[in-house]
Amino acid sequence: MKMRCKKAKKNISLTMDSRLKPVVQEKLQAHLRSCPACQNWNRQQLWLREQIKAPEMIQPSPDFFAHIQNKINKNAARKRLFSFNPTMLRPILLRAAMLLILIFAAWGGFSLGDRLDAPAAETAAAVFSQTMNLNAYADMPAESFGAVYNRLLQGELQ
Amino acid sequence: MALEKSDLELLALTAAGDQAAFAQLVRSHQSRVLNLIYRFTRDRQDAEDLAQEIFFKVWKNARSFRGRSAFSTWLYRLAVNTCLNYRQKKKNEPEPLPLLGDLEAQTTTAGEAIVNRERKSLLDKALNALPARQKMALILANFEGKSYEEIAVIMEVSISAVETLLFRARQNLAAILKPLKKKVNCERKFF
Repeated sequence: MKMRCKKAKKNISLTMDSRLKPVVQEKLQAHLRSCPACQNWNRQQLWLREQIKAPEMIQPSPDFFAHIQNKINKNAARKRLFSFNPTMLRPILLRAAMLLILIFAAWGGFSLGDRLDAPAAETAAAVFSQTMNLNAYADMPAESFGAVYNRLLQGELQ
Repeated sequence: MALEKSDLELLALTAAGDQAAFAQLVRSHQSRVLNLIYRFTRDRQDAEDLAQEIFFKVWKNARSFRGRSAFSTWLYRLAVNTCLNYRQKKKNEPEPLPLLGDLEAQTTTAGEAIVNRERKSLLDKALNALPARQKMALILANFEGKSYEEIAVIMEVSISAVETLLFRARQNLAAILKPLKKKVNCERKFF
């Protein structure tokens, strides 16, 4: 099967890095023999490879490492400045929080417990009244549903 | 006789805060890292600054090195990422002046000097015009002699992506440098 130009160009790029398998290399050569455009592209790439040579090697300046060391020291100084670590205080904070919760719960229990204490009912009727909360609608307007219901509960209505 | 410590041993000591080991590590890799960055930035001062930044990152992150790849691969990856970030930052700044290296010094006539200067300038511009990742792949393959597999690991891409990056880089370079090739051919006829 014939190789297309796009594939051939990609293969030329691979050839330049010695990445092409011999079988494909043969196919590429066959394509190059018959395709002037790809021949031209191949020549262009070889010329480019020749042109792009590595620039001259440079050497690090004498104080290269000193600059790095300076950065390290600056970083260490900054770290020391902001060295507060909240994880160090974690056990203390945890205990303090637990104690506060305990105190708050105890105080809440005592104060709410007092408030919820209902006066002891002395008679069975009082117990019934307190349990049913029969006076709940006492303040309602006379014709309201609440008042009528209240009267029904009190036995005033049949 | 003191035995040479391996990179991994030196890195382990560096992670423990040993500055002498770190200095040795820097000495053995500074030239390679500096020249890789220089090929990318084409600016000596920027290359030095970035190389120092990279070694500072090595010092800071020595503990986080897991040893899944070679130290040099890790170092190259740091360098590549730093270069790509640098390019991103420099995007809106004007292009640096092209470097005139030893090419000019080797020339014999004034005419050749002009041609070489122009050629070098165009080559620099063409390389600078390439997208950052294509340029980096080309530098790693052509100048650093890295295999596709190594480039893939360093740039954190697949091997087929490396093939494509290199192909596109060469294709773009050819397109950018077409006028230069014509000019060189004309000059050859002229001289």
